[in-house]
Amino acid sequence: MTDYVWLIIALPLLGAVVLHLVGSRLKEPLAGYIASVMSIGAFGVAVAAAIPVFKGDIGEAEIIHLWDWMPSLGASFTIQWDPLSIAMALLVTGVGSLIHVYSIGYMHGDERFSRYFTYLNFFAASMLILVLAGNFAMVFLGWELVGLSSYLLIGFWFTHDLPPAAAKKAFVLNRVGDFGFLIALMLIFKHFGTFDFGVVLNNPAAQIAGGTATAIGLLLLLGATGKSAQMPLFVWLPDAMAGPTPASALIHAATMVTAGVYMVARTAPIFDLSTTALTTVALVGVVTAFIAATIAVVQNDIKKVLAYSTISQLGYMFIGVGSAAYSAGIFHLVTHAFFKALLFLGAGSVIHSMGGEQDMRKMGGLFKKMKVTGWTMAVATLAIAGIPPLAGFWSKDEILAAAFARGGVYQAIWALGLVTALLTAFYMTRWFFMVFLGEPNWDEGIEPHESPQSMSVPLVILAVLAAVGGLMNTPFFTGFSNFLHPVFAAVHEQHAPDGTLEYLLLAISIVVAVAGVAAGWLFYRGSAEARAHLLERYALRMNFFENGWNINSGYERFVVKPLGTLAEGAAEFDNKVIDSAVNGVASVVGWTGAKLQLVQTGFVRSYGVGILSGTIGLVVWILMSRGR
Amino acid sequence: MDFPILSVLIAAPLVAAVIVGFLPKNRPNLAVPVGMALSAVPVGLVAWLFTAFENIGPAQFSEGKVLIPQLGVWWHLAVDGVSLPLVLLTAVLVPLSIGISSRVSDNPKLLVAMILFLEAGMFGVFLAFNLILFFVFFEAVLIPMYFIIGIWGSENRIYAAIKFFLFTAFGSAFMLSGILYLGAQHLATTGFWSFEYSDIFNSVELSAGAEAWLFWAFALAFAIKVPLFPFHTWLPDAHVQAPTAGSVLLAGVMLKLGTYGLIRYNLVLFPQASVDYMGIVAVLAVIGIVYGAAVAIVQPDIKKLVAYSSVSHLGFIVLGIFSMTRSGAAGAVLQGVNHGLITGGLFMLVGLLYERRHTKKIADFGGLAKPAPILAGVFLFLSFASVGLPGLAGFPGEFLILIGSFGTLPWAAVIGATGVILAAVYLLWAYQRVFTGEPTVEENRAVRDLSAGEKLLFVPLIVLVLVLGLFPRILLDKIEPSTDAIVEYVVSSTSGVSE
Amino acid sequence: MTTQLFNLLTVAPEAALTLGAVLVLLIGTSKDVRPWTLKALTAFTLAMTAAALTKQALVLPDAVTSAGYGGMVTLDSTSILWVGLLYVVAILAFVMSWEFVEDHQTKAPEIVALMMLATAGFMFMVSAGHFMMLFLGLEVGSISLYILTALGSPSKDSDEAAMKYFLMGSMASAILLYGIALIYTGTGDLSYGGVFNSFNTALEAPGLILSGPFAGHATGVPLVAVVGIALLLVGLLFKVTAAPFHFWAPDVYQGAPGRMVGFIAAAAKVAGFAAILRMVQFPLFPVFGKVQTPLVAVATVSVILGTLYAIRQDDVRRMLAYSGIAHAGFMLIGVSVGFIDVTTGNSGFPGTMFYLGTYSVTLVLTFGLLAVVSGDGRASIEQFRGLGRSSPVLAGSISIFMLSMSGMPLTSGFVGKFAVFSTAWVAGFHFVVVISLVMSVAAFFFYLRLIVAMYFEEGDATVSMALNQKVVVLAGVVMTIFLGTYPGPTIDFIIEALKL
Repeated sequence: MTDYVWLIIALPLLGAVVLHLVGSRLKEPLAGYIASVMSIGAFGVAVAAAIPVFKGDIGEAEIIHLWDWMPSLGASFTIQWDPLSIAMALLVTGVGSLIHVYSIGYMHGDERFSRYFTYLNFFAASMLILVLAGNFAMVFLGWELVGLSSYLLIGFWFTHDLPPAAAKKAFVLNRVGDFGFLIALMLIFKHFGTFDFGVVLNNPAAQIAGGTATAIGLLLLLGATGKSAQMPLFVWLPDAMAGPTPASALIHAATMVTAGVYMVARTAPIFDLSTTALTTVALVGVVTAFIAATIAVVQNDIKKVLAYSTISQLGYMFIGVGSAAYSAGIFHLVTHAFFKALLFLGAGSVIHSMGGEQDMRKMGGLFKKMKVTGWTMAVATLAIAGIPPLAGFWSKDEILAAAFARGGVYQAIWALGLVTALLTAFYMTRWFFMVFLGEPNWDEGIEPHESPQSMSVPLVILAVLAAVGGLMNTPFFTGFSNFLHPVFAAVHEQHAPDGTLEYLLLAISIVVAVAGVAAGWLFYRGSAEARAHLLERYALRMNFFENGWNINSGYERFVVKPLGTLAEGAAEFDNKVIDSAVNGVASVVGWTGAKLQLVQTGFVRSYGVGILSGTIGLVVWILMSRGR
Repeated sequence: MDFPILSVLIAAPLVAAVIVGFLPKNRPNLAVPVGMALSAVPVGLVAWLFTAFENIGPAQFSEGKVLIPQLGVWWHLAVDGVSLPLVLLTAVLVPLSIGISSRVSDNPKLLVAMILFLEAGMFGVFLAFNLILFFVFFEAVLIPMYFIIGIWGSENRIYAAIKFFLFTAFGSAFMLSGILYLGAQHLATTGFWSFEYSDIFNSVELSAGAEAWLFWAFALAFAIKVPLFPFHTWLPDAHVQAPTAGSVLLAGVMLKLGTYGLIRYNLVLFPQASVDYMGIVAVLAVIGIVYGAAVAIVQPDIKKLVAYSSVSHLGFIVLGIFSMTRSGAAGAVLQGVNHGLITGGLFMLVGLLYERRHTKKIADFGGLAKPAPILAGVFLFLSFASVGLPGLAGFPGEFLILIGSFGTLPWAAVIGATGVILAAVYLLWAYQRVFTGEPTVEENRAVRDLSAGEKLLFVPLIVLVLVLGLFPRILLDKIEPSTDAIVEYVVSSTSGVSE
Repeated sequence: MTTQLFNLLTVAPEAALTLGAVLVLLIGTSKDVRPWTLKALTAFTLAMTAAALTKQALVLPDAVTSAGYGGMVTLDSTSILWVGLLYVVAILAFVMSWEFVEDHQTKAPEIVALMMLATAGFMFMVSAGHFMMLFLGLEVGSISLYILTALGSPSKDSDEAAMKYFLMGSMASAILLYGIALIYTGTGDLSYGGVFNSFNTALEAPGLILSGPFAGHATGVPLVAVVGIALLLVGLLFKVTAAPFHFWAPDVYQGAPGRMVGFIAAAAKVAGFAAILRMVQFPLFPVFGKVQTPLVAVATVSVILGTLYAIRQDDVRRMLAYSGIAHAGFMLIGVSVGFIDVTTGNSGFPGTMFYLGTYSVTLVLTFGLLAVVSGDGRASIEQFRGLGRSSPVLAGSISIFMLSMSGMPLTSGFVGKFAVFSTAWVAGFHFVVVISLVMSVAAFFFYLRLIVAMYFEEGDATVSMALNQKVVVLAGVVMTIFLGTYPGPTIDFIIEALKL
């Protein structure tokens, strides 16, 4: 009854194709309108198709088979329409649409305006393929296509030097993850003989033992760390900020980077078979969350802070799914999409009004100039800081509570998560202060101004979502997890504890959040000199954090360089050894030919000797030969 | 089948070549358009063949006439799911490679004629069902390619041409001795000479030892053609020196003669040996994948980079063939076609870049995307196809191969999978250095974008790459019955495939 | 049935040629011979010879194997093939080298006459039924060739070449003659039939040698005869430039007047091989087992040496001389398979004869074309640069002949090699075949060098061919391709002639 959901993918795809073919001939805003209409249309379709599911008319997943891709592998274009994919589809199309609209204003005047919207629509389509896929092969398709569109959007301003490099870095590091994903797929096919979710995820225990499950789980995790910028592959995301800010908001904050989380949740039945894999997910999550947070504290680029904060928040989601609290993880995914997209769009609006300036040290005091942006950012900051009753609080708290309830190593995870929460509250407050409050440190000639409506309206909408979105799922009303429940019915899902413990945990996180905000406020309200002086003292440690724990340079030194040398060596080997061997054979033959010339003296006498000896040889041989 | 479609298919390019040869001397620029027009005939024939083809295992449209009765040499042609896709590929690439040669000033008539001769020869290799006939075509294709490289190549062409010729001919020498052995065995068992594929398949019993050396005799010839590490060093030289048309057909089709031979002859005629040595061949294939990619990364010459990428991709195909699995074999054939289209297209682009800048050094380029956005776009598109991006043609074949080979040679599949990372590295890095950034050099700022005619050449490629990426079934449905049958036969008639 | 008339018929072609030669010499005595007289006379003679040949062929059906002049000359289907082949070589040589004749007004009659005599002599040699006839034919032919090597030379080269050729040749003839003598001592007969019978009977009752180095050999054939056989073979192997009796060939091919080389080379090769094949097929058949292995050895050595030598040559004629040694080796492989293996019915002859026929025609035409480019002097590879553009017909034909010699598929050269190798494989010479295949790959290198020079290298060499030359060359090209693609009937024809 909802077999028209393919439109959700088709509309943005159609938009991309049309814009790609005729975009260059369109007047500026028109391309933006087309793209936005397509995205909004997709949202509409998604809503329409979701209603029967909300109403509960459709029990479990609905499968819409479009066409066969590689039949012998059970790989087909099949859409699985179930609560999980619905949640993701609504998120992608909803937030996506807002960002489409926002971009119309933001990209105003860019010479490749229509091309930008081509990519944006293409991304939407790719992401929807990923989340609506009904089998692993199709997931992989979407998985790679979002990688492509991310590549295209990061490198959008290709005439500069940084964006193309960042784009390549992003794609290659994603590929490293995909390597794991690919091998996971091989294992899955070897043991299940198909990629169809219906078969693989329906009681996998019958097919695979714990060991295999662990292997598959860890390999999928490797894939997820690539796409979702987790340890150790997260280094591409900060560079990815070289792309247009709305794209960063959509791809590198709200949707694409959450694909890994979605992936783990989707394959919950497999992770369900392996505590090892599950725990690893949680550990990766918490470590990433913490490291990224420490780095975010000392960044001065308005987008870099948000980038690291994104990595950190994704870490929370991994803690969530890694604690088998799948719906909690997805819930944080959704709320994070709201406030992080909001933050990025706000940052974009700031950059827009500051004429491309991104260094927070040259900002400050913008609140008066940009009321809408200022207020919405305030909401977003408090939301991500985890101040109740804003969205971030509920989702983050549910994750931490679940982790705590799981016990064992998970309580350590919970503790580190709390520390991270503190840091989060701190650096976001810092961020808000440096940008909006305090003294203006603008370069001369810069006239900050509020952005046009096409930009401010989405901000407001997102601010509302960031404020109230959390109420979908609170300890008092678990509507969201109830909605997702059918998806995780078959697996042992971890729920937050009940009763006093629950409220205790709530209280703790509130305290932590407030403490963080307060610390930030105290620290950045005071005089700049004091700050500078303090930073002076801890300069060395600061550098360590500023350089992101030197992970980038580590890669440079221990991976990139050695591999480069290896490749050089191979090329050398090809030249000097293999090819020389080939040519060597040839020259040996030639050399023999040359040497033989010596026999051909040209003197009759030596010829005569030759003939005679030959004659004698032949005579003797014939005499000796036993044949008749 | 009354109408000898396959003979006509081979004859058509020959006739076309003769016609081109008789074009008026004073109108050299007539050669390319006429050649393209005439090379559309095989396309039509193949299209008809494609529709009339039934999706069944055994060979179809068989037709035969004895050539040397005393030695059992027949003019015997047929087509099955293994050869049909490659025939299609050949028919598609030839008009493009003629079209891309439109700027050749030196005796274009001869060039076009040579290309058409080459087409006939390649059709012959794929369609021959008599070992000697196969060998004849297998050797004959060397001649036109030798001339194409030698006459229209760049500075170091003579060395490259001779190296290409001798290296490949060397391999075939051993294959010919193997073929002779098979014929002699047939004589010994049945009392009359026959090199007929079916006769040898049915009535030649081989001792284990004989099967082993025959396997290697054939494998050597094909490994050089593929080329399989460490027999690949003729390839970069040949590619870099060859004119664009040469590179396109060399990478696009001629390399597939080797993989085709491995499936058609090594697997089917020497199943036990194939299974015994699948490990060794797989090792070489995997080395080829990683090694070729690694060498490609550091190539300063864009054309050499694409050439080495072929070494890597062909490694995948060989791995698929010797995985002894249905999906592996089907993927190998499919990937043969896809690689032909993609790499052929990349070589066409490199050729156009060379026409514009008269250099192949990556360092000399930079920022070309600004003056030539469409060229850059097509290059990026084909690069991603080559990288194996799902949805484009490069993916299904590679995916089937990896999935298949993981069943029997998991280690090989895992190592081979690193190829997908490396491919991204060398192609995207090359794209970054050639097309992105601000064009600094004046020549780069002045680079012309694709002309209308040039665009037209890429339309069929792009369409096919998309179609085969999204609907690989179109080919798979025709490939799989044949490859499945072959794999079935190999696995069932031997011991040692551990799936 | 050996009537007078028939006797005459057995020697008709030779007779026609000889008479023609005499006539040419007679009119040659007059001061100024007009070229066209010479031309007309030559044409007439060749026509007569053709007529004679046809007549022989027509009579043949009711005369299976017939001996004339007391068995001195035999006329059978095989001999007709040989004579016919020699005739073709001669006619091609005349066409390709006619300019040479015209350029030497004074010597023209001699040249023409000698070519005719040589042909006649070799015809006698290949249709001989008696060792003396074999020797006489050989000498008539060879001596004419010696002179032709020297005649009308532009340089000292040809004198030196002629001298070497003469010395080496007479040495070989001496050896051959001595071999014949020893065979006579051993068998008491010199007619092929007689020798054949005595060998047979000797083998019927094998006596055991009790002492001496050959103690234990169960051979009825007297040792002298065996030695004789060996020497006889040496003499003939010399003619076909098989290693290690090849030394003269490069110097002669290089030194002799370019426009004559084709005839000098091809005629001797055909005659020599025809003679060897006839020996193996007829008088030596009973004792073939003794010579088989040595022959294979000679063949292999020739293939290897010829190829390796040729790789490093810059003079095209010299290069072809060495390649000729390799070709001799290839054909000897076929010879050593034997006329027929009684158990398997495997015969090396059809392949070898096909090979010889196609090769000799290709050879004479190729040398003709080389002469068109480089005249009578040295033919260095540089002279061919750029011919691919300036004179496509010539360059194309040379390329095709080169590819045919290299054994490239779709040319007659491939079919010849393929036929020879396949029978050799059945005969069990696997190793030899593999070596030969590898060597023929190495040979590509020097066959292709000419193509490289003509097509790949820049140059401004330009030449023009006479119409008649064009005609025969194109005919040769067509034949090369046709026999390369559809050789079945021809091979059948040969098998018919051999009555296998």
